[in-house]
Amino acid sequence: MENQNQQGDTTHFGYKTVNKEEKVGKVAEVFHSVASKYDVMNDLMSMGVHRLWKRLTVEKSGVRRGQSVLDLAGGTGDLTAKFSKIVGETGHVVLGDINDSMLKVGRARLIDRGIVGNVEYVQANAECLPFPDNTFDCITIAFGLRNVTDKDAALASMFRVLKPGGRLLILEFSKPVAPGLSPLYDFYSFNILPTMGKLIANDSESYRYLAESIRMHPDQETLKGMMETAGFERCDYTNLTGGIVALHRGFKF
Amino acid sequence: MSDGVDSMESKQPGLSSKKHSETSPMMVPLLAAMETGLNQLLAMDPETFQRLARFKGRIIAFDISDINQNLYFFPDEQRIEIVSHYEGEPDTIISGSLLAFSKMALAEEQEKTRSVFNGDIRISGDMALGQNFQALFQQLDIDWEEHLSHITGDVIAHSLGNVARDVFGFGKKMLNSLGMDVSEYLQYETRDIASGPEIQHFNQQVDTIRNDVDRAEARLQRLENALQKNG
Repeated sequence: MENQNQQGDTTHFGYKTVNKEEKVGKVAEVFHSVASKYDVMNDLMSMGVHRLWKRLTVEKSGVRRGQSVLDLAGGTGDLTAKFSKIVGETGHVVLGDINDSMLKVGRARLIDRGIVGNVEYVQANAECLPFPDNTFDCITIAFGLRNVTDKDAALASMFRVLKPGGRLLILEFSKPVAPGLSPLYDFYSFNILPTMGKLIANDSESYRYLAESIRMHPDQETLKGMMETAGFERCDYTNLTGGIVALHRGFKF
Repeated sequence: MSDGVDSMESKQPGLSSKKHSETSPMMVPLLAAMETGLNQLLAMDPETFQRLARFKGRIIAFDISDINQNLYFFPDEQRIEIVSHYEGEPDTIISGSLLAFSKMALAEEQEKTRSVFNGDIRISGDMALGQNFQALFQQLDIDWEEHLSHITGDVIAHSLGNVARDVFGFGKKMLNSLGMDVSEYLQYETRDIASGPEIQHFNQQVDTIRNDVDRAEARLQRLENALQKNG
């Protein structure tokens, strides 16, 4: 349903319809604008729960010592920090983000925390990942897929660079399923969220975009179907916080 | 102890079946709270981090057998990360019941060592690593007064520290003397239970009888063998 907008040369940017090229630029603008305060905003917006969602992602990743992990749209490096410790000195983690402001903030933050040695930073577009086939044991993309213009291309690209036996984990806002949650959530996203964005990052437009882009993102079953189309097998998802967020998982065999 | 040595030979020692099941989302807040709490506790002793550095890159698994839960610790010089689901091989596995672990955490020095030796807590895999990691927690020396002083200032912290020490000291003394009073009453006044020397005497007698019986049995065996040979 949501994908109808993606036909032809136009796609959606929040609730607006824009040219595909234009979306890339506009998303970049949003993240350049929020990069330095992204962490604080995440904590505020999710009331700290995003840390738990990310922790579950790590638990379900099956990542082991010595493996290689790609943390796409890794932003400020929360997942990379955890994976870096789990894979140890013999493994390695690539923090990839299309936005150089986010990448710089993430790199500075990880280096400040002493997380160095097995982490690399790559500015990469998820639709055409600059890695050879069968490179990673695990790929995660947390709160990033929504901002990708061509999601099907991104899923295919991730499938290509994943090793056989590897798994993809997508943590993304989804459709609330808990009864009575929807109206509350709508009120929160369209009234409280942009106001908080205004107060903290002095940028209510960017946060309005975040809220709108969440609504335009495919729901649980649609995304699962898209993963299967891209070639992933044994796809499943876990609803978190009443379906506000869902963790999708698929394997490449 | 023998359990530990035996299972060292097998590649996958004593992990409970929980290993392959998935982490439930309900478990996650608990893990987060545990990790934060543990790291805050460790941070209170400034020497912890030097000691932690030795464990960098090693994976220590705790197998809480009775609730069928595994926890994997990933320490480095800054903190310990905790994960409940890990599909690889840990370097060492410390297993025991929830009760045994809490006993070990709370008990006095001697009791802690005892819980390892009497088999309540088993260490398999890299034994030295497991024991060193356990020792990390026994060496924790937290100066509560110092940490309190950051909040309240030195003078108040010191007075509070004194009050706390007095209260704990009094409590301990009271418990000790109460314990002694009760045991003396039961042993010597009502004679409901035997006193220490009496029990020792009784145990010695039991040992003597056991030895006598063993000797008699050996003698009977010898006679029986002799009879069979002659017959």
